[in-house]
Amino acid sequence: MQPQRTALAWQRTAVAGLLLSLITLGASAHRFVAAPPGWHGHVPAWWLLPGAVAGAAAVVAAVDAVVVVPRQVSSMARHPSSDPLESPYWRLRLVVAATVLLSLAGALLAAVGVAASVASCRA
Amino acid sequence: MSTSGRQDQLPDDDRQPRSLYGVGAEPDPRFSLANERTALAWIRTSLALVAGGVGLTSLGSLAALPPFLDVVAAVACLAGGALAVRSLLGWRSHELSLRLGRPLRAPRSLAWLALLVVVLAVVLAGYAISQLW
Repeated sequence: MQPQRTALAWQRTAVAGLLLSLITLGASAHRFVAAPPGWHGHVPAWWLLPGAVAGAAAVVAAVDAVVVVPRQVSSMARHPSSDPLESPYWRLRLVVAATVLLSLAGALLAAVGVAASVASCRA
Repeated sequence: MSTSGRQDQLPDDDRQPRSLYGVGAEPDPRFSLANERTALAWIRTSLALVAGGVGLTSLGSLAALPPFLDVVAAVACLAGGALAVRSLLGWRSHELSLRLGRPLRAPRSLAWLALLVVVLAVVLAGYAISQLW
């Protein structure tokens, strides 16, 4: 049960990351389509990168978390001293990196919102 | 397996990071998996904070809300990123404690997170109430 529960926790996290990636992608596109003064509604491609990269990272982590379940089950069934659990370190780092990327993208979006408000007040 | 559920260190163990897996004894796999799930719960919490921030700034953009809310959104996003990094460090610290047979550290991040959520809630509630008059 324990490996399955852990894999499900990974799936929930990946789905949350994927949803947030889509929301960030949409918000990034909307911020430019809404066109603050002088920006003409153009969406630079790099603005969409954080959402896309974080979404891909969530998918990779979710798939790997499922692939590893049979090995974890057999590891727990056999004597753990000969077959220890695999380290989840790289997967955790991947998801944390994606979360940090999304948080920076969100903060940047908010900063652009402030700048747009200031620009529209001046105009 | 010993009565404590801990195993001796493996001779051909190449798991990373070595600073973690190179010390102590192999803990009960159930504890390691529970530690992994706890870290994931922290990451989901940080994702929720970032989602709140992105949602707030998007709403502000759609409804032409004051830029003050964009500042609140930026704080929520950055706090989410910091919490995600803290979750990784917490996982490492707990796994190390399990391997060395030490007691787990008190979850100080929990108090900070609760404080942040309360402050965000009070600020947003204050803004909502101010709009009534």
